[in-house]
Amino acid sequence: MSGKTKLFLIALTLTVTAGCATPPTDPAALAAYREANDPLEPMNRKIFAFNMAADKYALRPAIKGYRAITTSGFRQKVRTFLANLKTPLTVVNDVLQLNFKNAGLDASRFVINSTLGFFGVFDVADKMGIPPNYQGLGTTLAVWGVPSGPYLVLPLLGPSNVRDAAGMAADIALDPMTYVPAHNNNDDLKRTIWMTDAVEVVAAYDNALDLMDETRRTSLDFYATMRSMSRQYRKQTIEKAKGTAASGDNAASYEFSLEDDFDE
Amino acid sequence: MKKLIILFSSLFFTVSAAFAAQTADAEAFAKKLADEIMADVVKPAKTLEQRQDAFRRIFLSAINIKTSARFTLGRFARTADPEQLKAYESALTDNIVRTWAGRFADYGGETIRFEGARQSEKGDFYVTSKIDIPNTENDVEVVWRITDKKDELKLADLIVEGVSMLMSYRNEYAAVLQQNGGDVADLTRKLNDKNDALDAPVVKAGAKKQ
Repeated sequence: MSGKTKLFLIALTLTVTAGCATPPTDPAALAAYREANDPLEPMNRKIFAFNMAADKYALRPAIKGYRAITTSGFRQKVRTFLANLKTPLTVVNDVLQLNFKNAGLDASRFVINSTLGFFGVFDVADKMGIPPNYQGLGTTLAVWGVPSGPYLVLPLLGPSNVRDAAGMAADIALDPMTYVPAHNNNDDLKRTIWMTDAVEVVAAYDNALDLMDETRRTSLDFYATMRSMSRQYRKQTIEKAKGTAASGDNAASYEFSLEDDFDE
Repeated sequence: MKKLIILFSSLFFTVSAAFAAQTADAEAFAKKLADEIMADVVKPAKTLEQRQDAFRRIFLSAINIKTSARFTLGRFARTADPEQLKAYESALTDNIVRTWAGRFADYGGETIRFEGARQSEKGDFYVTSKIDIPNTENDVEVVWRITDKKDELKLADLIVEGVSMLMSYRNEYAAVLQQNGGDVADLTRKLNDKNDALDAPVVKAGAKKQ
């Protein structure tokens, strides 16, 4: 087992072994409790607070440095490059989702961007009409009909749920890069891979930071807002992967009734 | 027989024409709103206060604040009295105006393109648009939910990448109301405090502390 997988499993165990909330007895309150789907809320809030501290003392200074030495155009190229490295994993998931059309398109994306796109720095495929598409095992499990399970805040990784967290662990296990450091004594190679991991975290965080700051600044309960938004966003991603995204016959998850006073 | 076919086909075309006109109306409504925001809130060199005033005017004419505010309170709306609801509406409006006018102040160079509208089985319109933000990989998808009540089109919700603004407020305030025992007046107070805090000068991300 690689260090990354171990760390992830420790984080997951810590997450699940802490306390639970007690469900309310009033029917309307119980409906709201079910809608929130957060029986682990007391513990989730603690991890969320921990993540905010990590944000303040570790990630934010790193982002500050990263932004000081790079331009936004450069940062986009870094994201494109890192996304290209993950494309083979998307192809695997496309196949697992039996979406052979996307598997073909994403395989083409990888080939085009790795060659014409100069090792993935430029998204040439997007300009040729094959837009980016990222699929992980969490989405694949959802397409197979696995329910999300309770809401989960992962240490450092943020909002998730039981299904997506398991999918994420499997994604790490499926990624060939995970095994390179453990089976190689070349220190330079190890350092390079760990550096790539670190840049990956910083780049992903950099991309989300401004929107997150804005939301934190304007909301009354940042935790609840993140829980609501991340769940809605995941629903849309899964609807798209299932091919049931909003169209004539399919109602999207956001087509709820505006009239009812009850929480659904 | 021939007459009957003509009658039916003309009937069919009338119906489908009426339907098409309605979805087109909804799309035109959303476009007009976007244009107004572009012209009065985003583009001109204005102070934040002027942007907020312009946004408030457009926002209040486009939505039905009473029904929207009520929705964001969920089941707690039933136990609040009319005065509490009124105060809450006004605090919510202030919060939305501050949130969105600030967002628009940071915009520049983005283009919005409309990609058609559809009507759901329940009768609401969903107009799809994409915003191209420079130096990002994907376009942001914004869906405008438009209701048709008494032949008047109103903006009911804005859905950004699958995230409904209305549902996000409702879920957030449900958490606040859960903790304060369903006290809408307390929620209103918290909102007003937040609005005051938002009026304080903003420190930009990166250099910003907690």
